[in-house]
Amino acid sequence: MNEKIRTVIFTVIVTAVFVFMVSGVNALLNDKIIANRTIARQKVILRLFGFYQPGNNLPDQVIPQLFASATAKVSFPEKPALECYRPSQGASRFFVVAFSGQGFWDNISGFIALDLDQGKIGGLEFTQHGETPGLGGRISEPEFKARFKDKPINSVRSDGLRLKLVAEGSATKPDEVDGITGATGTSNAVEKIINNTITSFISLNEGGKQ
Amino acid sequence: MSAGPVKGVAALKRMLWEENPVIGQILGICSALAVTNLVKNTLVMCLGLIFTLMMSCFTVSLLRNVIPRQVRMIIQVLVIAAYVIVIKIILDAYLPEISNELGPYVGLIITNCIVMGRTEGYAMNNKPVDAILDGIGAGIGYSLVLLPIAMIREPLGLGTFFGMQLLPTDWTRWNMMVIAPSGFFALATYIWLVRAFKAGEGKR
Repeated sequence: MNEKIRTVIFTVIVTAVFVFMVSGVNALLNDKIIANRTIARQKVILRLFGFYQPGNNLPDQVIPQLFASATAKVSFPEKPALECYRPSQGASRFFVVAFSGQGFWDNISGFIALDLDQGKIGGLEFTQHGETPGLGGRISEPEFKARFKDKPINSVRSDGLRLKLVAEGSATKPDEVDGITGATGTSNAVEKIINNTITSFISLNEGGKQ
Repeated sequence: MSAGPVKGVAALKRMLWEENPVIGQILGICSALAVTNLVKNTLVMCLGLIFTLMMSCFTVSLLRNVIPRQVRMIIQVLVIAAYVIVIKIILDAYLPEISNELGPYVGLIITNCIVMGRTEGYAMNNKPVDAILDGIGAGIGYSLVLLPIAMIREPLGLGTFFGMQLLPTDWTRWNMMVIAPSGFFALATYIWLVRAFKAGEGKR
């Protein structure tokens, strides 16, 4: 009996000590981690606007300033939760819109740049996904994201989609995008998320000027 | 495995060659396949593992006489997990990009059999100083396998070394070398060569 109580007390004490240690380190560094995440998000948005290239080695400290001066937040009264940005200069209708939706495994979220003046996609970036590495996970490769660039967004196909993800290597029409072989589930999920985002954003913009 | 307890520097040295955890015991294979396509990530992973091994072996060894036998494995996992989470937090704070690239693999140091193997197999029965040396040895032994593999995979797969352009830019990248299957081939070839060498050494 005595031995059992000693075991329980020992386990509780050791657990408490290590929990204390881990939470201590976490509390010390949490602000820095949150700042890093914010900067990573801002970099993605700036890159979609073309204000930042991964190669140009801007120090992280200047990113928040650049972000604040170069972009402006757009809010829609009908959809207050939608995260959307435009360049702070000029009157072009070029927007970077946040999207999120169910992927094959986990939520897929990111940002898409929509050029409403020219009616095409400016670019696409994923900030979070949990797709299978090597298969669906390939959506985060630059080569895949580039497949969406300059795709038309205004025309609706006969099947109700604006863009269709087809078998890899078989996209011939402008409203078709190469999907990923071996990741049909991910391709379908991305197709659904992108189409929904574009449709809802266009209808928002037609409903009222921001 | 060996007769009698191994102490001091000998505990470190045998992990590098004779009882190398990857070559001799085929432990830690998952991470060996996953992270070795970039030298930088591999180096961070190796340093993380060396740190975890060193700290876990030291802590477990300090506690070895007071840990009740029934809960010793739970305590070992707890100690290992605590140190790994600390590493993950530090990486998130100071090297966010590497942390992002390594993804779940840092967290998976917890399940790296080498760590559990050394704490249970050595640190539970030996003094803290020996346990630290043994832990560092196992970590370096692991690095001695991973780093050469990464140094072959990254240049062939991406034409770069440590992120810098090594081969001419018109080099045709071997995409195969970037994905996990080539890790299998590279690791198997490496183990084969080392074992063939060891066998040759034994004959002499």
